Amino acid sequence: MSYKCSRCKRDVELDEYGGVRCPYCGHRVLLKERGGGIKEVDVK
Amino acid sequence: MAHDFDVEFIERGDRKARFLVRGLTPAIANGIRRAMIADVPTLSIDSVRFVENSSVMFDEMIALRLGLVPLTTSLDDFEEGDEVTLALDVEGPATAYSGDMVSSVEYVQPADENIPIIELKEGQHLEFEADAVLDSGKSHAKHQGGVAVGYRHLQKVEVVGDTPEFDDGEPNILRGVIETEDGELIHTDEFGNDLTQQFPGKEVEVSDVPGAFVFHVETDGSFTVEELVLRAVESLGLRAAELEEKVSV
Repeated sequence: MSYKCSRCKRDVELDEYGGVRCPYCGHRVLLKERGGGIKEVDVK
Repeated sequence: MAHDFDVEFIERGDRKARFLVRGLTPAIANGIRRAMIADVPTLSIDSVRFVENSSVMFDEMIALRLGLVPLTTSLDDFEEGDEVTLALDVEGPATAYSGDMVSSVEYVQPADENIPIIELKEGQHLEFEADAVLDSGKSHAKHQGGVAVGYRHLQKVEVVGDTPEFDDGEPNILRGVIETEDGELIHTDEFGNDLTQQFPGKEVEVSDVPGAFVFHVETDGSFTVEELVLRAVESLGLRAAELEEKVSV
């Protein structure tokens, strides 16, 4: 799963041992990246 | 059974009207009201393909907002189930409005151009394609063309005498449209809904006029009030004809 650090804006890959933390700046707030595909939503 | 209907407009606009119909039964009046709400189809966004959405709201929440944007609907050109595609591409900092949507059909446009969809900050981007489908209010409230449809009895106001000399002067509140003894139709808003303002010092008696109903109709902008009423009445007629045909077989 790819994330983006909300402070340094770099792409971050998380693994199960590293915890939720940016390996470059140490910031703990990561934003999930949107997938590349088109998402279809029904309006119901 | 032949009916002589008599229709008189009290207030007439494209989106809002008030009119009096004489010669109706309560059942037919309610049938027309229900047909205006549930039977007259409108175009409404039914599915959205999100290419990009980096706004603060989820795709599903934006899609629900889009479903409630009224679209101008030409009922002569579409049948139920027909689709029209609309697209939007806005980058922040900006607010994405309904008017930013570009339609594949020139005469299908958002009825109001200034409905905010989402406020986008610097670096946020919203891009989607949406399919609008023609359907009726029976299937979903977003397809209701008539948004405020109701009726009241016409009320006749008769002066029966003078108020007593030491009357405490309490207001006599009444809402709707009244018919005076001269046959004049007045909406009670004009005199603050207080009969003592319109008939000062007089004692009045209010009674419903049988078979006379005042309709108040507002549309969401998909079409005019006239079109909504005519289509509703037409749908009632078609249903009655269908019933007649089925019974006679």
